[in-house]
Amino acid sequence: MSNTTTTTTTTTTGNSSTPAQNVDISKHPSGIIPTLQNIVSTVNMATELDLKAIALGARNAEYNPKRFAAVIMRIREPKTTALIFKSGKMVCTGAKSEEASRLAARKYARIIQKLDFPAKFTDFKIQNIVGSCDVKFPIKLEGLHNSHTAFTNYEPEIFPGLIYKMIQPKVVLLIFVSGKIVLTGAKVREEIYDAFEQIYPVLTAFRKNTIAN
Amino acid sequence: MNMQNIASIATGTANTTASAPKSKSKTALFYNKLWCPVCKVTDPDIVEDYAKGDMICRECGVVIGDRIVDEHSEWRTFSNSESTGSDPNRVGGPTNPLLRDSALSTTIGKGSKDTSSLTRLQNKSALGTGDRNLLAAFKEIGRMADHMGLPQTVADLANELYRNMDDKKTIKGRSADGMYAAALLIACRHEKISRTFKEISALTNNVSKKDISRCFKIMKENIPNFNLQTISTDDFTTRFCSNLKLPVEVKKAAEYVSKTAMDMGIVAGKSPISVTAASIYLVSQLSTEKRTQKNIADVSGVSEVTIRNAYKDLYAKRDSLLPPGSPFLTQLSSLPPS
Repeated sequence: MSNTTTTTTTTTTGNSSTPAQNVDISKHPSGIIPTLQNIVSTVNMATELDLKAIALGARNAEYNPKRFAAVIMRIREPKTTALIFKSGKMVCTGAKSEEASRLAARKYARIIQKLDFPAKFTDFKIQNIVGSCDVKFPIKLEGLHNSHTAFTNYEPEIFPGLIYKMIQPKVVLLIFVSGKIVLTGAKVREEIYDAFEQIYPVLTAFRKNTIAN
Repeated sequence: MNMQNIASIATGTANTTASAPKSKSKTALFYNKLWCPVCKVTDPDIVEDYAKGDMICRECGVVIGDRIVDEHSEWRTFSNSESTGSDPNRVGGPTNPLLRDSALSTTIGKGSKDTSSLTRLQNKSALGTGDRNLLAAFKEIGRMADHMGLPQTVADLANELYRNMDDKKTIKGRSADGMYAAALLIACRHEKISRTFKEISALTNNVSKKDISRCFKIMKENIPNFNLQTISTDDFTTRFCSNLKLPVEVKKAAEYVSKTAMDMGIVAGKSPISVTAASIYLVSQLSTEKRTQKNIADVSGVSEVTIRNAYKDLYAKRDSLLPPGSPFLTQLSSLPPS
């Protein structure tokens, strides 16, 4: 079968997660860097808010108290969504990098400030980082499940991907037959990279060699 | 004196099992041998005297056991010609080791006028302890197993699994029906007669496949050292083919087709059930016993659209899927493309 794409040398790979710059082999021995897809962060604006006033005063804000007890606000740059609660706490989702998430949270706080609330920017914390990458070869999920039963959960009837719960670092990986990997549950970027480097040799061990028939 | 004698019997069994050929713990029970500690003859003639509760060695006449409790049933009662009244049985029903308060089924007997209120109170309180939900669980699991025609071993294993879960109290908050279904599913898989989530969901009272899968996940985490193999296409081919009344050649070919398809990776990401259904469709269309997608959908629980989609993938590689030397190869050109 000539369907499998072969990875060329690391520096010239067309993998979308490694841009034109050289991949640092000492930090990423596998040669692939996962791209971050979503960052979820929380911030405390340290003041009670009037959600109705915010919903009426701000653009791009929706507030449906019967459905959910928070204002849902969106900004275009960085493209993020925020849930703003009456207590003054806010959840910011959708950013692609930690800096972008922090910047977006600051922008939201600024909007709240402009609406005459004494908003501050305290306790900014990144709660979850989601990354994805492609190892470019098919994987034998069945074999991986049989050998790592303690960590994996693979029910093809329920979900086509294998769910790998890594203990150190505490990251959950969704591994698919196509070779695409989704990593989530990390609090810092390095955890994602670390988790991927740990799983990469395991995946190569369970590489599917399609039979030429 | 009694304890010593009983102990010697116990060690006797231990020694004989050590000298027995390499056998796992289960078969060791069959090598259980009693020997008399006095005359030490390997194949002794030991007799049980039920009346006195003794075990006597006939070689030397030594009384080995003492006060052995007779666990056989006392009376053989057939259908009562006289309704109720004189059931001479003085012992309770058979003990179920799975139930928590096993072996204690003391009930208030029928006597003077006060007994009826006492009986009522006992039924209300005593049975209400931990056992009631276990009994309900066993009943429900038994019903589901019966419906599907599953053997008693599967139902027993499911009961045991549920019992273990109940001990750990992680069930609190989960739908009970979902846990019964999950226990049955795991038991089926363990006994190598897998049933799909959809099949088990059909037996329950409105438990969705999602609920069952959640309960299944919880249960799987809670059983230590339980190696559950992932489902594969072979588990279901035989059953679906026989439900569709397809001949053995079709079944064999379908098994080969689905296995090859999974190995080739052309149906990557599709559930093994869908692949099985599609390969059965493919092979049945090649044979004289054609089955429509609707027939197969009814039997397997896979929707027609899913079969069609999986079939499209199989059709693309139809030349390489059939076993070599199969009688169906000649018909390949007559396969419908969708």
